[in-house]
Amino acid sequence: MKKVLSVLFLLVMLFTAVMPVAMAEDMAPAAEETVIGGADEPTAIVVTEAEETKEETKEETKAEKPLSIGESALFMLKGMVGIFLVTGLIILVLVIMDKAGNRKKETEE
Amino acid sequence: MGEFFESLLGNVANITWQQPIMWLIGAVLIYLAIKKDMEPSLLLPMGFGAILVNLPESGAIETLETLFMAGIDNELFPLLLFIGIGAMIDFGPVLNNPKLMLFGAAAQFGIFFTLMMASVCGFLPNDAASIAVIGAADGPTSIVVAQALGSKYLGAIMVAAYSYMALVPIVQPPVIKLLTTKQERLIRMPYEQKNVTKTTRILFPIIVTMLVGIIAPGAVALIGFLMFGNLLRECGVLNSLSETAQKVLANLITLFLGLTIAFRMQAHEFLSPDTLLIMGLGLVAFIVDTAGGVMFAKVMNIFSKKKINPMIGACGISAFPMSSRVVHKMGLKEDPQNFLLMHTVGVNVSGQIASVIAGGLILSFFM
Repeated sequence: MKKVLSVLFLLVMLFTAVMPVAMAEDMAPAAEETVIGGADEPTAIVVTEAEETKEETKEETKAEKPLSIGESALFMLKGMVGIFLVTGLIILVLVIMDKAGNRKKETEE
Repeated sequence: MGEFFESLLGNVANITWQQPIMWLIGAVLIYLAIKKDMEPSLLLPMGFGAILVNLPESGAIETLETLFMAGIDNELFPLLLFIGIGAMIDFGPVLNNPKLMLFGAAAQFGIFFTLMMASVCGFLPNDAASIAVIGAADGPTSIVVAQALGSKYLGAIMVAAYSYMALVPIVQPPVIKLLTTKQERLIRMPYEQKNVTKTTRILFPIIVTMLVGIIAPGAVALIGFLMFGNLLRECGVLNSLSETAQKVLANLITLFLGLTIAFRMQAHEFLSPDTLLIMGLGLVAFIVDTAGGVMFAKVMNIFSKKKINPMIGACGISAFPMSSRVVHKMGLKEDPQNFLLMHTVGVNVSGQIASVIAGGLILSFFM
């Protein structure tokens, strides 16, 4: 029973870790449209401003919506990787400091 | 005579049906604080505050709002409290065995899992992230994140965070027992005492602040104030400041913190189905945190020669020092000669650092 539970929990962890990769396609930003040439400067400014407003509105709407499972799973992956990265670095520094301290002690002895 | 009674009792008519419920909630918090000794320094002021702000036409609301704007809206109180907490923590066990920090990191899984659950429940990103940080089992971090992200559920988040921190002895043991076998719980871990130099103790808070600050800038204030408190403790030349931070500062801030949070416990804000949902999600966060730490230890046992008692992984939640005591007692119950305390304390203080890092990462993601 306990082994089954442990395996189940591990599967949940693995699933949540793999899900963002699996759902990456859904979350990929739409290909940016590029306007090259053809437009004079004022038109280009208007187009850029309109695009900016469009993006802002899109962001606002996004913030007003709950995260999708894929998005939140991506945050989970990023968060756990971030924590282990920082923790790993701290451990590395501590180990180096410990070794340096030991070497100093040996030299003194 | 009628006018006299009307002027005396006229306010009774202003009582809404939600307010007596809040009085009851306040009374329960006070009861838990006094009779059950559950985080009394915070639950008692919060309970009293809940009654205070829910009296009809309460004149205390303005005062508490002033305190709220002065101390919580700008995140000042929780950050100052962190100086006191930092001065109280001895990072010696972690410096003695730095690998223990990995368990602290693993036990933050509950935060991100709860983020997903809260999103599934329909909470907006800033609210979902704030609710998830209940899993940090760290009051000040929860306040800073919820406030910085502008969550409207600050009151409920605080009640959940502090209640579950107090409920660690009830929440953690069944989860640990469910995921470990008797044999695993009997694993002994001899403690090898190393001589941690003073230089290491002094450099540790500075290095951690710099590393965390560079990678997760959102966490600089949190980790910086915590580590500043620890530097006061370890530097050896500011003993009076360290003592002030540990006692006077921490007590003073705690005194105001609980009462001020009650400003967000006004019936019209607090009494909603969302509050119940937040309490449920908080429980999920604590359970998954515990399970994450235990499972990580079990996975490490597959690769490591020196076996680790998986129970110590559960201390990675930062409810310090309660979680370490609970697991140590569980170890003693299984085998009276199995002393896990130094390991559990090490994992527990690692959890304190990891939960701050997690809070900072959440801020970086959502701000």
